[in-house]
Amino acid sequence: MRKVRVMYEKKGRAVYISHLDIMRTFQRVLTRAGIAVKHTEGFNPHPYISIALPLSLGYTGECEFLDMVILDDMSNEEIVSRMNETMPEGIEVIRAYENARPVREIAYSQFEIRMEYDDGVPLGVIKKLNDLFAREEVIIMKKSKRGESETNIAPMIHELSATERDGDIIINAVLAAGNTSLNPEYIVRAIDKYLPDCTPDFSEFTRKNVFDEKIHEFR
Amino acid sequence: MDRKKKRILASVQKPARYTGGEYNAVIKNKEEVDLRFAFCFPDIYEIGMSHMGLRILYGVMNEKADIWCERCFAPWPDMEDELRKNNMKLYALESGDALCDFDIVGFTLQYEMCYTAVLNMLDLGGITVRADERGEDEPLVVAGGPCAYNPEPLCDFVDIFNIGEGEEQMIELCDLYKRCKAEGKSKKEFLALAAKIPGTYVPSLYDIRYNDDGTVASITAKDGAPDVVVKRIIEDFDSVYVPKKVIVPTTEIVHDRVSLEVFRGCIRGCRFCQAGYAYRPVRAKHAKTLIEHGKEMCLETGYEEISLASLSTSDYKELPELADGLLDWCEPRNISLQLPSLRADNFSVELMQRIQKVRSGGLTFAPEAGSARLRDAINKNLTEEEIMNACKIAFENGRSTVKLYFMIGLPTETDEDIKGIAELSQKILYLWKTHATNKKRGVKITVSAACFVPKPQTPFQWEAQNTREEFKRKAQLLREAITAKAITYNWHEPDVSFLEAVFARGDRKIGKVIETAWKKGMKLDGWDEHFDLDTWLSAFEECGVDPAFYANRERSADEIMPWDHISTGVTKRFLRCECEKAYRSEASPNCREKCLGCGASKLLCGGECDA
Ligand code: SF4
Repeated sequence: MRKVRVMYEKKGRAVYISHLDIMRTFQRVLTRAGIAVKHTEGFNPHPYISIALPLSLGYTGECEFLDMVILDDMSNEEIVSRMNETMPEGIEVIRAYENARPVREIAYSQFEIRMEYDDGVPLGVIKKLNDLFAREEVIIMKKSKRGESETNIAPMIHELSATERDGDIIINAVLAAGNTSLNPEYIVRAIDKYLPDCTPDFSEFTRKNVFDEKIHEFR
Repeated sequence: MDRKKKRILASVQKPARYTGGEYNAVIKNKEEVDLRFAFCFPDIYEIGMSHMGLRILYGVMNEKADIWCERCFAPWPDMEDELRKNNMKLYALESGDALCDFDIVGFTLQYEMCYTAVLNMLDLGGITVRADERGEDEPLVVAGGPCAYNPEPLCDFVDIFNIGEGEEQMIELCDLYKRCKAEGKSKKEFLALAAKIPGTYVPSLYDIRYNDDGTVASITAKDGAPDVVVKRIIEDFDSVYVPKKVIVPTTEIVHDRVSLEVFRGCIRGCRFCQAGYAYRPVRAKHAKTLIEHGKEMCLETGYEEISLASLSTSDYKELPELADGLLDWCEPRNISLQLPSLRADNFSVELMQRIQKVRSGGLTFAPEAGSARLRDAINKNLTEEEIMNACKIAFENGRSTVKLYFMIGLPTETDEDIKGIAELSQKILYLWKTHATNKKRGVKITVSAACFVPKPQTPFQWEAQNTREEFKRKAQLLREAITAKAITYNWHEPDVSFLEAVFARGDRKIGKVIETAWKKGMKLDGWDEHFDLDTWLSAFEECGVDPAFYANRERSADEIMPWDHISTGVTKRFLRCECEKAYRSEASPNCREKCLGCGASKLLCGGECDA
């Protein structure tokens, strides 16, 4: 019996699998792969697995973590290859390892926001975006456990930069994760509020990486 | 995935319904196959993916290297709006290609209320809805499933109906299609050849004449089509190919589990039940075969639950062997076993207790009628004693929820029979009071009463359905007769059942009504929130068709039925004989006690049922 962390990607058609469904999907992947994992006790036992940070529906994830306790003696390489053999399209295990860091040490997530403009990229949008998010105060309505309230999201943005790529605007942002976290959708909402003429017609989100307090890669 | 589709998926609910990419979904190279088939289920993903027929035919067709079978489901209105707004066509999940790009588009018709969804899916898929207006280069539209036992209401829209079990016939039809395509034959030539494949009904090859009173005067086959299309069956059911690599959806569906089809047909002969007659003769798989299939399917899918599927699982001769074999394998793996459609009469206490260890559930019975007299008339051989006995055992074992299913409006029914429903439930409540081991938890008895719909190809095909007013009066009567608080009465509105009765026994004149109602916005009639009787009634009026003629009219014994040229193997004479027995409140023995010679065994070359 040992603890194993599995790092995986979720992309393509799989981005439409919800968080709840991804749990069920992994249960079945493990069964198919013949990887015995520890089950919960009780009347209706189910595999004891957990996912570090839930990913919103529709988001691509390049750095996702699944934690479990495996019962059999099996090498990390074998776990990876067995799981990948029975995975639905779009999910791929990159590696499996022991001695993973505790999830509570996650402090930031790095997101890429790809913004589409149907009538072409607005003039000067890159500078406007970079200026907006360099401010001390960016206030929007934000949901928290205590309901919606006016919140300054600037302190939750560790780093943000905009560039242009293939006719889209790409924002690269390192945002607070963990206890107080900032969903990248709020970045788009802030654009809508402060720079309405720069509001994209569609945005796509990718979680690229996860960091600890010191902006070291969390694994 | 293209940008347009990404945007659409971001704005609809439950996008996983529309993405495909599930484990075990079959991806082929479209350049390397000769025939592309779109299996369409005219309801949403969660319902369609639970359907056994889809799982079987998808597997059977994709076994062939030169056929690629894909799936398509009815979109929820939010998705439909997005598709229409963005000028996108309804597409199959595997390739993402529009329905109009396929060679054959095949619908399974599981219930009458899906008919408008068929039209809507064709239209959304870029296919001309009416068969006679469809071009040579448009896909061939085929349909099968239980509703095809009276295909007439859909004849305006469908080129070919598959009557009966499709495993072999579908492949024969596909082979013919490939040959005709290679030889450059016209659709008309192809259809004439297709009509020669047993179990294939080509509606355009039949002339229907009507009498002045609206009844059918004659049905005439032309161009060499058979006078009567006899349904296809799989003779050797034990060795028929069963797909093990079942698609595992990534979003929850209605029956999210391994489903083992134990046997086809039914020995009971309940007179209201179309499946009981249409799926004859009885053919079973061996327990050994099923256990192997069950294991393999669990390993291939990762499912944590197996369910046995059949019309009446307790009638399976090798049930003890099967249950033991599966449970021995399942229990150590935390896989649970579900045994729906168990009868109360041969209820096995041991089995129930063993299953309970893995999973607990309530108790469900379908006495269908409230009195012994009416149960005899509908040939539901379930005695009050059997129900009481099963409930007693259940209560003594600490169970405390009972669900009872009834029908109202059955032939020969009186008000006394309705009150009998209340009496029976009250007796069960009393039984709980005297036998429950744990009264603290309380008891919950649910009584559901559906409105009876007379179905074609059954002994009640001649019967008039109660009017909606009669149904409402009877429901009120029942509501007043149920006094205990522990008994909940679920009543179903008769509106949907009324329409079902029209479609179930409709003729070709109904096609126009379906098309009109669809144009008025009807598309998901199986969903309460999208069903609107008034719209339907106005469609009937516009078309000059009286729905009561189909629903509420008793047919004379010698009337030509619109489906008389479609045979399930069971003879009309036999059905009539059973109908008359019903009038005398006389039950029939089940097929295991005594074969009554219904005719279905003639479909087998050995000529004997495995009842
Ligand atoms: S042939 Fe006899 S045993 Fe077979 S289904 Fe008909 S009545 Fe039953």
